[in-house]
Amino acid sequence: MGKVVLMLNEVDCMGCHACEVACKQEHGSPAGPKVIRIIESSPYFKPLFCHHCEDAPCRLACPEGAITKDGNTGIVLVDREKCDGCKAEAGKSGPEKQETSSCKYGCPAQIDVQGVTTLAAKGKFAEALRLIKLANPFPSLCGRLCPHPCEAGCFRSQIDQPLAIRAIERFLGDLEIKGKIPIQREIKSKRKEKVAVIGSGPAGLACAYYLALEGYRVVVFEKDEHPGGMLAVGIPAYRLPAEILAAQIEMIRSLGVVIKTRCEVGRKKTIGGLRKEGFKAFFIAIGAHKGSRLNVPGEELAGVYQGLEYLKGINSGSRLNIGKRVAVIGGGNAAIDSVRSARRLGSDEAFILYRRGMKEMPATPEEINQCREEGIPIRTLTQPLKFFGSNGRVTGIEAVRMRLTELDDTGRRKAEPVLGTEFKIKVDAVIVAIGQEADWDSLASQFPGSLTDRGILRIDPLTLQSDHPDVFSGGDGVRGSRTVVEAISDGRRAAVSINRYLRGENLSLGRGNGINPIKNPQHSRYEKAPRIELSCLAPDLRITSFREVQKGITKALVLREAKRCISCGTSCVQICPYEVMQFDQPAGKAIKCDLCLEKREKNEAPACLAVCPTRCILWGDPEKQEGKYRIL
Amino acid sequence: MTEVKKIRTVCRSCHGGCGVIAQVKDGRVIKVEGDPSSPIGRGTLCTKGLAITQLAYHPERILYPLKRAGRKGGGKWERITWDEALDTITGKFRKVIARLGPESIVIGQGTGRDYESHLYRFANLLGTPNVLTAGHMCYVSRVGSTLITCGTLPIADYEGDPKCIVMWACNPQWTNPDEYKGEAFFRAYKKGVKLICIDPRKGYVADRADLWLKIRPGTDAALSLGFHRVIIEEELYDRDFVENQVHGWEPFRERVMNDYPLEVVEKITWVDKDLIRQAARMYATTKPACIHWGVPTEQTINCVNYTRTTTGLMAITGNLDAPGGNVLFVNPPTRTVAEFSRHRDLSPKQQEKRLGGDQFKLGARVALINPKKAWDAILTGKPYPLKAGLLCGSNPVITRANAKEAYAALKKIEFLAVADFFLTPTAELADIFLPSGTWLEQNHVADNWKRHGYVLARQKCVEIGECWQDHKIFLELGRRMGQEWWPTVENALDYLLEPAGITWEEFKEKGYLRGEMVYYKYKERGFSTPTKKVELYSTVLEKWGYDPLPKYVEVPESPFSTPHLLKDYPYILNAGLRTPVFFHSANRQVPWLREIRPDPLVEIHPETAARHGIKNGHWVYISSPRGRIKQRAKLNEHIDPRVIVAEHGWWYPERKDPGHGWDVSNVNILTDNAYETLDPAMGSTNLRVCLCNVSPCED
Repeated sequence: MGKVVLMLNEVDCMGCHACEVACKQEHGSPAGPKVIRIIESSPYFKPLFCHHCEDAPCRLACPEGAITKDGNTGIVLVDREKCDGCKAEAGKSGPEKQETSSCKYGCPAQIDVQGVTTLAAKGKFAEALRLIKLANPFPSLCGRLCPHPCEAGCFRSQIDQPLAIRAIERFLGDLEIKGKIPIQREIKSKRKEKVAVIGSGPAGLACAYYLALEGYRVVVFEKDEHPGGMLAVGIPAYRLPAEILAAQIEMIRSLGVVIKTRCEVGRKKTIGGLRKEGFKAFFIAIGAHKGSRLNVPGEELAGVYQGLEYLKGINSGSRLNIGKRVAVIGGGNAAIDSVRSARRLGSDEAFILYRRGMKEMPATPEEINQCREEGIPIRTLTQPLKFFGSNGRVTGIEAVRMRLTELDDTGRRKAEPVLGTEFKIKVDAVIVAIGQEADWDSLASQFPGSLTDRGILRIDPLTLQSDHPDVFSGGDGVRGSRTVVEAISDGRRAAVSINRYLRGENLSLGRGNGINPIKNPQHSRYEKAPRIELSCLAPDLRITSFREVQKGITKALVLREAKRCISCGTSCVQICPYEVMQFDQPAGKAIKCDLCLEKREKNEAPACLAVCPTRCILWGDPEKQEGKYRIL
Repeated sequence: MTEVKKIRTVCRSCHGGCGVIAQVKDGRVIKVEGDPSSPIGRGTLCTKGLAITQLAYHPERILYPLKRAGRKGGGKWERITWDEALDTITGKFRKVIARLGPESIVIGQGTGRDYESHLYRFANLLGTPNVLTAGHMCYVSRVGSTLITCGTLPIADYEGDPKCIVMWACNPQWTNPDEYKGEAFFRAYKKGVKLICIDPRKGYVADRADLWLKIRPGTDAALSLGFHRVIIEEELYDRDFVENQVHGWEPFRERVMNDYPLEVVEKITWVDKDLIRQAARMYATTKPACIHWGVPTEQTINCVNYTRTTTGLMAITGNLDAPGGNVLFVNPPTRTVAEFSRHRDLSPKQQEKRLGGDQFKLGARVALINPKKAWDAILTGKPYPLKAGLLCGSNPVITRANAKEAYAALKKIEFLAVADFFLTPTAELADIFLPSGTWLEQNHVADNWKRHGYVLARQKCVEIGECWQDHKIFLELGRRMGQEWWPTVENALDYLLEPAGITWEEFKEKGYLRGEMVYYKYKERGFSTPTKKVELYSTVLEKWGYDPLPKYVEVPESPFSTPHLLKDYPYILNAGLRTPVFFHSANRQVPWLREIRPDPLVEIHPETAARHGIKNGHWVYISSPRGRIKQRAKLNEHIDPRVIVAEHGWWYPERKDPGHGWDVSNVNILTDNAYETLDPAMGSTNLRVCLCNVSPCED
C-alpha cells in the first residue's frame, strides 16, 4: 500500500457530524474526546481530523518516542504502551491535560515549549531544536533577546521558580550555529511562484524561512547595507553578537533565499514593478525605524542624537565618544541600549531621564537591572522641557519634575508636571530614544485607499492580508515597536497565509480559534529543585567592551534545568496543528486517528469518509489527487 | 471467535431510506455502516443512523411491557407480560366501544416508524375516525394540498440534473426532507447549478446560494405569490402548459395582479422586491429548475395556500413532471398504504364523526384530526369525549403546539397506552407502556408511503429484550379485537408485495424495488384532479366552501396582526430549528449525539443580544403569551435582529423525575394552537411563528 492520508475539500463540509459518530462507532469510543470533530462557525464548518502530516510534529514533540510514522504508508500512530500521557498520573492525570501549557500559551510564536524542554531533558537536542523551529526559526536570537513571557506563566513557580526556558532555547539554537546539529534543509517539493519580502528584519526573515521550506522562490529586499533590520542596526553587540545574527542569516540563505541589500522598494522599485517581474505575493515587513521626536526647543542642536541613529552608527563600526555626561531620554529598550552603549564608549556619567516611574518603564526588568549593575543612574519622573547650548551645541537640559495621577478609566497613570519644580541639568550630549515608528512614506503611494488613519497599510489582523489580495504585512511596520518574537510570529503567520493564498485556499479557515491555557496543572508529586543560576559578565568587564553580557549554559545545566519541567500539558496534543490529537482522560494517554487500521487491512475506507454525504473527506496519496482536494 | 454476520437493511432513525449494512455478532448489532448499493443513501449515513446501537442498547431503554403502579404520571411502573398488556388495552377499548362507540378511542402516532399502514388499518377496522398524527402539519399536509392541485406530491428530481435549485425553508444537510437526503442535493449542486435559498437564517445553503432571500418567518405563501407576479408580468411562464394544463389561470392571474404587487410582497416578506424579481426570473428562465421545500412552509396558517401556490410555480414554468424539475414519481406496483389501511372500511357514519372533520375538510380527506380537537374532546367532553388512546412513537407533550394543553389532556384521558423506546414525558402519563422495536428489530417494506418511487427491504437484524416491532403490536391488538389480520408480520408483507409478484423472502434478497419512471405523464392522461388539470383554481376547495384560489393570510400572531403584543413580545420567534443529531424529541439520551448538542440553542442576533445584556453561551428565557422557557444563547449575525430562532424537541432524559423537564426548554410551551391560528382547510398548526421576548436567566 502506498502513502495514505486523509484529505479535505474544505468548502464542502456541511457540518453534519456524521464523521464524528462513525469514528466513535468504529473504535467503540464512549462520549468524550474525539479524534475527528467538526468545528461549527456558522455558516462555515471545518472537520478537524488527523492529516498524518508529512513532518508529523506530534512525533517530533513526543519525548517518549511513542508516536511513529509508517515509512511506507505515512500513517502516524500512537503506541499506547509507550505513551505516558506526558507524565500523567494514573487515575488522576491532571484535569486539563487537553489544554495548552502556560509556556506555549504565553509565547507569541506559540512554541511547544513543554515539548522542547522534555526532549531536552532526555538529551534529544536535535529533536528539541526541530520542534522550536516549527514555530520559530531563530532560537539563537530569541534565546538572547526575548523577554520570555513563557517563563512568566510557568507553573513550576508553584513549587519553586520558573524554568529557565530562554537559556535552554539559546543553548539549542547555538548548537546549530556551532555546527553540532546540522541545519535542517528539508524543503517540500519546489514551487514555481516567486514571493517578495520587503525588509530583512525578524518578521521578513521568518516569513522567508517558512516560505522557502514550502518550496517557494523567495527574494528579500533590504534597503540597508546589511540584512537583519532592527537586529542589525538597533541591538548592541553586547546583547546580540554580530556573528550570531550573521549565522542565522546565513542559515536563511542556505535554504535558497536571495537577500538583496541596498535595494529599497518604494521609490525606484515598486510593488507594481515587482508584480511585472513575476512576483506573486508580497510580505511587507519594514519595521519601525523612524525615531520619534520629543518636539522641544533645542532638539536641533549639535550633540542631540536620535537613539536609533546613534545605535546604528555603533553597529556599523563607529566608536564615537559623544561626551562624558550623556543624558538619554526615554524608558524603553532603545533608551537602555543607548545609555549602556554610551557607557561602554567612555561616557562615564551617562544617565537616563524618564518622565514616569520605574514601574512604568517599558524596558524589561532584566535590562533595567543590568543597566543599574553597570552603575548607570535612572532618573524617573523627569521631563525635559528644552535643550539649551552654546555655539549651536547642547550644554544642558531644562527639565521639570513629574508626578503620576491616580488610575484613570483605562487603568493607567498619567504623568503630569509639578508646577515650579523646573531645574537644569548640565550635559555634554543628549540621546532622544522615546520610541520609533514605521516609515510608510515611500510605500504609501502604492496603496491608495488601503491605509489606516495613521497612514499604515490596513491588514486583516488574523491573516495579515491587506486590501490587495497579494500583499501582506506584519511586524513592527504595522504594529509599532514590539518584541522580536512577535515579529517572528507575524512572519510565520504571513507565510501560512501566503502559502494558502498562492494555492487558492481559504486564508482564515481554522485559524484564530484561540487556545485555552491550563489553570490547574498536576504538580503534587514534584519535589523542590531550584532554578539554575544564570551568569553574566561582571559589570566592570562589561563597561569596557561590547562583549556579550549574558552567558550561555552548559549541556549539563540544560539537562538539569529541563528536567524541572512538570509537563502541565500534553506535548503532542498541544503541538498538533489541526487540534485533533486528544487526551483520553480516564486512560491518561494521548489518542489519535489510526486511519481505521482494521478496516484498511481489509482494504476498506476509513469510517469517517465512508459516511460523508459531501465526500469532503478523501483518503489516498495526496500527490495523486486533483482539484481542490488537499492537505490543509 | 463467533462470526460477524452482515445484514443489509434500511435505516429509520429519521424519515429513513438510507441503506445500511448491520454487523451482527452473538445476536447483537455491533456496528452499522452505509450500504454503497443503496439508491437512497449511496453508502452515506448520518449521525442519527450511526448512533443506533447506542439507542437500541441504551441502559434506560424499556425492554418489556409495563403497567402503571401508583398514580398517573407518578413515575412508578411494574413489569407485565405482553398478554396482560394487550388484554388490558383491548379490554379497555371494548368497554369504551360498548359505552360510547369506537370514536371515543384516539389512535396516534408521531413522525412514524413506517407503520402508518398498520396503524390506520387497526384504527379503521376498530371503527374510529380519530387518528392523531403529525400529518396535519408535516408531509401529509403537503400530500393533501398537492393531491387536490395536481394529483400527487411533486418532488425535486435531482437525478434529472436540475440547472436551478430553489431550496425553500430547508436544511437538507442536517435534516431529512422526506424524499431525499442532502447527499442527492449535494451531487446535483456540485454539477453546477443556480442556487436560490429562501431562509430567514443564513446556513450552509444560503452561504453558497446565488441568491439568498432572507424571508420573514411564516410569509412563504406571499413570497411564492410574488414569484408568480414577476413571472406573469414578464411573461416568463410556459404558455403552452398554462393554456392546456392549468385550470383557473385567468382568475388566478387576476388575483396575483390585483393583490400582490411586489411592493406589497416586499412589505409582507421583508425581502427586497428587486431580489424577488431576480430570483423569480432565475427560477423561471433556467431550465430545468426544481423547488425543494421544507416543513416550515406547512406549519402555518398558510399551509395549503403556500403548497398550492408553489405547486403552481412548478406548473406554469413547465417544470412539473419534467426531468430535473419537480416530478410525480411512479411507485413500484406494491399494494398502497391506502389499500392496506382499509380506509374504505371506515363507514360513512363513523367518518362523519371525525373530530373537526366538518371544519378541516382537507385534513379529513387525508384521514387526520387536529390535535387541539383531541385535547378539547378530552378536556371538555365536546362534541363527545375521548376516553382511551394509543399513541405510538409519539411525544405530543414536546412536539405539539401549546404543550401545556397537550400535557393536561394526556394527563386527563381515562386510559392511555404508549408504545415507545423510552419513558418519555408523554409515556410517563400512560397506563400501559409497550416496548417498541427500533428499525434494527423490524421487517418491513419500507418507504411504501412515500412518493419517491421506491420500496426498500428493511430486515430484522436482532431482537432485543421483549420489544416488538410496531407492526406486530397492531397486528396482535387487531387480532385480539377480532379484526382481519395475518398470522405473522411477514405474511402481511407478502400481501403488501403481492401485486409486484414477489414475496418478502425474495424482496429481502433484492433489497429494493423501483417504479419505472415516466416523465410528462399528464400529456397522456392529464393530472389526477377533477378537471384533469393543475387546479390553481381548486374545484375541490370550492365545493367544500373554501376560497378556491391561493392567497396569503397574515401570520396570526405577528407585528402586523397583533401590534398590541409588541410592547411585551417584540420579536418574531422562529421555532423549530433543527440540529444535525436529534430527530424531533428523540435522541437526547444517546451519548454520541448529545455530546454534539448538549444544550438547546436559541439563536439571537448580536445587536438584539446586546440590547438585553445577553452574551454568547448565556442561558436565556424566551417568553411568549403562552409561557416561558430557557435555552442557551448562540449569537448569529446572519438572522434578522427582529427574529429569534430556537430549537425544538427538548426534554431532559437525564432528569429522573417523571416530567423529565418537559416544560423547561420545550419550545412548544411558547407556540399557540388556537383554532383561529390553524390552516382552515388542513388544520395545520402554526408551530413555527409567534411573538416572543428574550431576557438573560438570572441564575
